[in-house]
Amino acid sequence: MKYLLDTDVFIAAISAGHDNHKLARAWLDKAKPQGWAVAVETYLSAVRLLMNPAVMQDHVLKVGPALAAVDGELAGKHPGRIVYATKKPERAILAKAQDHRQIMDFWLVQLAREAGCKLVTNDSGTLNHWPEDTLRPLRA
Amino acid sequence: MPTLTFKLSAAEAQKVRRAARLKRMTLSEYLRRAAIPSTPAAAEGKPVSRPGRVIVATPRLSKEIIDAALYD
Repeated sequence: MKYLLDTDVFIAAISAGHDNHKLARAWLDKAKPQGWAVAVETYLSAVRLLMNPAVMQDHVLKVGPALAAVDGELAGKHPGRIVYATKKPERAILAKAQDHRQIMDFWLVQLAREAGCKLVTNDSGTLNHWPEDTLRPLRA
Repeated sequence: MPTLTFKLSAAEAQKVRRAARLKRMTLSEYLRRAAIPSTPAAAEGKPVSRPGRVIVATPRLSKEIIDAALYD
């Protein structure tokens, strides 16, 4: 497995109206054969977002279709794995966070390290802080 | 990207900011969505869905909107 997607990249790939949809979709289609995954936290966040009326407005999904959408993306010829934590959060990593939003981003960096893959993200703070562990999805 | 400005009373401004906060959106996103309720991408029709390649019809989304929904 080579890539661990963060929530924004995963959601961009499956959301027609996301600003980065075309880029994320093309990148993920090309990257899948090399092995890919999402953290369980990302899986749950994606389901939450698809069910959130403030985000989805008229397109909001109920739990069944939201789960089917996320599970459907993880299925197929090159299925995605769901990565679970096997260790507790490392203080040395989380202690570098500059604000509350980076706690989850940096936790995903730890999960990517443990899984032996790169975290795929568009978050500049995470990319700048962990250049060896991250990559930005560029046009395939 | 062009920036639009408009005038409103202090009470109206407070009301708009509060409405945006309740929707967990930035002020810009709230006003953009109020003015342009549906994006062309969202209106294109049925989402494409097959195993390994799911595309869901959505309104306009951005990293900013995703972050606001997840983190605040």
